[in-house]
Amino acid sequence: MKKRILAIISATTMVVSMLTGCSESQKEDYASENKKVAITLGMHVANVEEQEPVTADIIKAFEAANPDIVVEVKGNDKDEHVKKMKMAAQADELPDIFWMDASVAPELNEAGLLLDLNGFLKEYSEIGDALADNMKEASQAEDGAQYGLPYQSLVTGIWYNKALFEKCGLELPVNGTTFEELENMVKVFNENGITPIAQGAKDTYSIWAFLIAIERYGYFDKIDTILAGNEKFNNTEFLKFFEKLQILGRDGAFPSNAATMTYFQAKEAFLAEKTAMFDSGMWDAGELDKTMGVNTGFWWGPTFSDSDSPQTVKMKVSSAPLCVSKAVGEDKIKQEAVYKFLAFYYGEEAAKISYEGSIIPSTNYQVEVDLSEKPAFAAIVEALNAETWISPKAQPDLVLKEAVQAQLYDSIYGTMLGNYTPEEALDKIDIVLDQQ
Amino acid sequence: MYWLSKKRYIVLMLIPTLLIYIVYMIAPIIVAVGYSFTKYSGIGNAKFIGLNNYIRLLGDSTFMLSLKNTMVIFVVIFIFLMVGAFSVALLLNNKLKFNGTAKALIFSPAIIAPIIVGIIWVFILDPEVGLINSIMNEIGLEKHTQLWIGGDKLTPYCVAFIYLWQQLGYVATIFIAGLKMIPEEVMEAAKVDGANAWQKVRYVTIPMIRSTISTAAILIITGTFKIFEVVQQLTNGGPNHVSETLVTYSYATTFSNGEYGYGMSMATITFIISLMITAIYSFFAREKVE
Repeated sequence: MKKRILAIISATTMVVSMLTGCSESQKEDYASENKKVAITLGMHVANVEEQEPVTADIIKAFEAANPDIVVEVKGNDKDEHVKKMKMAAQADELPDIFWMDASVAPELNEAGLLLDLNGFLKEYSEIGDALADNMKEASQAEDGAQYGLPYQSLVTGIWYNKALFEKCGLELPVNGTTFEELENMVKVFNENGITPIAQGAKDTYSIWAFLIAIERYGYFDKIDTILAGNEKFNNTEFLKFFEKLQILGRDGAFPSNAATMTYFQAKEAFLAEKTAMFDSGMWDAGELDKTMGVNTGFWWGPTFSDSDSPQTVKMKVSSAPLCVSKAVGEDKIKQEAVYKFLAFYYGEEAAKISYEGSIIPSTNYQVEVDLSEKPAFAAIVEALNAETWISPKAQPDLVLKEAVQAQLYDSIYGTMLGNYTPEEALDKIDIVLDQQ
Repeated sequence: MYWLSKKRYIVLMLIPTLLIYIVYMIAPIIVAVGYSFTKYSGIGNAKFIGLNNYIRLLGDSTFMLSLKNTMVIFVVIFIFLMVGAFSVALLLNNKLKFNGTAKALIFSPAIIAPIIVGIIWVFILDPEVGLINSIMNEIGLEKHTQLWIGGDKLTPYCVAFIYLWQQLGYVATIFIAGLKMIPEEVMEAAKVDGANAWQKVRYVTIPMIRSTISTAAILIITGTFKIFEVVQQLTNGGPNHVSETLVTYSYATTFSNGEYGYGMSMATITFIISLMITAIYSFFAREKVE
């Protein structure tokens, strides 16, 4: 018996000393000149090099400037990524830094899984100054915690093919082009055998231009009251907006196979000049520069004469945030490395890399970029320069919970495709809201 | 000398398998059923809400539609796959020329990943750019082109057809294995007794491969309730959920809408339905001992 007790004590001592030894040696390793600190970055695309080349370039530049830090990137397609992050959160294995859907990030914060980045913004005050207030506020909790910072600017709207407009004798859309004028475009394009607007309903989230349009019916004036349960989504203003979707669908504004098309197939159709317009955003500028070049134009979408709300709405808002795992705060060396990465990511050099890659960063540095070789990106920059046009505080879907967000997408596409009447579509959103 | 056939050794050797089965099969089912009584977004703590998710299911028209679609797919697949695979097996069980090649060709769709099968069939069935409607347009049948996928009528039948195409060879192989077990003397005796081809199948073959038929049937039942990738690729359950099946709707609710608890209640119902159909089939197909 005595022997057994002694054996247990010695085994326990060994295990404890091994564990202590590990953590001591880890610290020594960090301190050692040759040891690199690894930080992990979880991304919402499967292949960051190909799908987010600007981010890949920023990481390379960061590693070159910080040879003692290595960034390990792990990516998955958006839905898979969000699913994996949720599971990682449950297992306490979140990556150090990760992209997160704007509707899920607040929940992660409420569960105490994210690092408050106010400390970072205090330490690197120049970054705080470079980020506009609406960019920071998009990832702020009610208690003031900064649970994320915008991955990029989110600039969305309608790309159009100038050559096809000219071929059909139509004037190019400009800021202020009305819904009635859009209806006429739809009619003329259909008469000429050209599909007016490329939309892929299989990727239900691809409704960016219509999220700008709903703000022209006073979305942000109403949404807080609606979410508080004091008003219905099925209200007169939103009903008018959904009726416009119904009209566009009925007039043949979208591909006849929109129901089985993905967003990427819609893009292919636009690039192949089979459609005159394409609902998308800034992230496609680089590809459009290479394929359509000077034929590319960009527009904020139609204005509506039957709305009481301001029509001068553009969309440059915070995209989904980059969040930092709470666990990072428990390891000073890792936290320092993460802060260095964020400081670089939101710094001037990264902003220049972004602009050169036709991506508008979330920061507001004044960077000189030659736009002569980037006509599509130049079109978006020109549209953004319309100073009297105002961006809302966020993209409308990003202030909703996942289930409501999904129903909003479903209702918009359902009305476009003629599967729902406007009233039905709005009622469906109200039903989901009631269930939350 | 140790006798491994002793009861305690059998139990001992079964333990590792049993443990794996419990951890990977039984425990997830119990956990899923547990979550079905909660409101849970996948983050933080689940909140117990009793039967609310199940009550919500009763009023969820999309759930009812996905249940209907699943049952349509199941009925079509069960009838045509059982009959089709058995007929193919009978044919291939004969000594025919190119028998091996035919077996390989019929079996080949079964080795293609379902996600690829979905992509292949999108190019065939897409109403705008798909092969079928393109051919119909070319030969002047444009008035008869159909919304094969992406509509609310034909999609479940197309899903059933694709699954049938993919699984025919696999199920036929199971039947062939069963047919090979029938002693030749029995068939010879039937022939001597003057049985025709139909009578041999009806009174000799089918009764003698009853357990093979049961195995195939249970595989088809459970397989049908797991069809996911094909629907995901063809329509992603859309447009507007009209082509959802129980599994795709449960997946969308759980992972896209972030309603884990509600999604698990759908998974539980799917599990119960599949279990019930299997039990009913097993009851009627049981061997009656005189």
